Order: sequence, then structure tokens, then C-alpha cells
Amino acid sequence: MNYEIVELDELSGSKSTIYSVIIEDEEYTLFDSFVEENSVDHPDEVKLIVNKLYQIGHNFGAREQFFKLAEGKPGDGVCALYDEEDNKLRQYCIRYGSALIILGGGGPKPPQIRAWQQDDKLKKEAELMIWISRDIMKRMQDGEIYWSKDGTRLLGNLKISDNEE
Amino acid sequence: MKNSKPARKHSSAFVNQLLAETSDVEKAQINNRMTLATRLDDLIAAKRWSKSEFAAKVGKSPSEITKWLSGTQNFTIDTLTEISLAFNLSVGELFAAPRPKIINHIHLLVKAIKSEPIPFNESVGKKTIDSTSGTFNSNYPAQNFSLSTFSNAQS
Repeated sequence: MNYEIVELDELSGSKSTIYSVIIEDEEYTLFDSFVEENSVDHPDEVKLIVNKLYQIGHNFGAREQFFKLAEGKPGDGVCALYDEEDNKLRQYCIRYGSALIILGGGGPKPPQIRAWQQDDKLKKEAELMIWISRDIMKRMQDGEIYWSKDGTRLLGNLKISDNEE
Repeated sequence: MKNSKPARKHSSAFVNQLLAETSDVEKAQINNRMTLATRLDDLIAAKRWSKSEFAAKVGKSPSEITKWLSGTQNFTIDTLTEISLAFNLSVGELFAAPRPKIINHIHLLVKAIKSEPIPFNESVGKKTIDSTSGTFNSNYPAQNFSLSTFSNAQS
């Protein structure tokens, strides 16, 4: 799968660099799609999530306490942003310490399910982030993607094409 | 050659629109909830308490504490009072930014009274610092050490 890791200009700040992913030649990032898909049915929740991410980027950093950890597989860093008690949206991301996160998609979590595996949309979004996390990890091991010296940014080949392998 | 390019910057019309639609009051509410959550997390860490220990002190479940720390909680004044008492602080101090520890005076005195060579044995070289007086105790017979500091650190 071809994808590009892009930095979200409005959300990134001095406390945390916030990225998302554009799949193939889509116009929008996974996070843009999440916002667009849920803006009609859950406008307040989407607004809250965007504002929390803004605060994380500019004022607080991606502190562990703001995330539901271990939403993916052991060690892949896939997690979800904590939502308010009555809210239903799950927004998935990959967290690399407090200085860097990659936002994915998500969707509403039906009240009758306990885990994302029980919902087709959440399963698709969570599994995509798990796949991206593994792919990034592999490319880091190969030296294709690496950390900036201060550990706040990803550098290297961030526009990934299957043909290059 | 290694590609050292950073990621391309992406500006999102959706994100821009939502940020523009957020009132100053809403922004301040979100900021205050997250500020208090980080302050609580820092206070718990400073006390070296686990979440469970803190939960027991305020009579809540650990999952309730996780919610408090998530930055989504709208605390009541009663709950804030319970929290502040657990930390022996006033409610107002929960919102105060912690003061950085600044040491503005250090007095260091090292005296060598005797300068004979010290015979090697296993007990020589064991040194301790008396934490109450700041005195450096050494098996080296000829040395004395004192350290005093003044700082604005809160107890």
C-alpha cells in the first residue's frame, strides 16, 4: 500500500508534532476523513477532539494520561484519544512518547460492544493503524525512516511507495 | 544518500473550520480541564503514589482516577476540595503552576587538614552524606566537607 506521512499544520506545536497519513493518492488524511465522516452526527464530539489535539500539540504534549493505551497489538503504540464519559467516538492514533503522534481514523463505538473487533468500521480503522505502525517500525529498522536529533520529528522517506521495495 | 527531509505540511480545511468555530470560552474550558489533569498527574508522581494509592486516599476507584487524569473531567468544587486535602493543598493551589526549584546560594567548603598518603584498605573511601546536616562523612581522616543550600523549593 502506498501512503504518505504528513504533518498537520494547525495541530502541531512546540509540545508535540502531530502527523496523519494520506493513503494512496487521496486528497484527505485519515484524520480529515474522520472529521468529515463524523461532523454531521457528532459535531460537538469532533470539535472537542480537534481542540484537545490542538492543546496537546501546543500546550501539553501527548502525555500518556490523555490516551487509552494498548488499543492495538503489544508494542505497536496504537491507542485512542480519551473521550468524555457520554461520548461515543473513538479516534485512533500511534503515540511515540509525548512528543509525537500519528492520527488515524475512527468512528462511533456502539454501546453494546466492548472492543473494536466487534465493529466493522472500528476494526478496519484500528487494523489500518496497526498495519501502518508495523510498516513504520520496519522502515525505521531499515533506516528508511528515522528520528530527528531532538526526537520530535520523523525524517527520511515519508512518502512510501510499494514499488520501492 | 539518506533522505533527511521532514514531512510535508498539510493544512486541513476541516480542522481550520472547527478551530474557528470554537469560542474562547470553550477553548478555556478545554485548556483548564487538561491543565488540572496534568497538575494532578504531576502531584501524584511527586508523592510517588500509584493511581490505586491516590484512589484509596480520595475514596474513588482507580478507573475514576484514570478518567480524572484524561483531561475530560468537569470537576465539582466538592471533588476539588477532596483532592486538595489529599495533597495537603488549598483548592487554589491545585490551579497554581508549580514553582520551579531555583537554588540561589550554595556554600561549599572542603578542608584538607592532613595531607599524608592514605593507606589502602577496604574501609577507606566509603563516604556518606548526612542528609539532615548536609555533612559529608568520609573515612578519609583529613577531609571535612560541608554543603548548604538555600532555595525557594516548596516542601
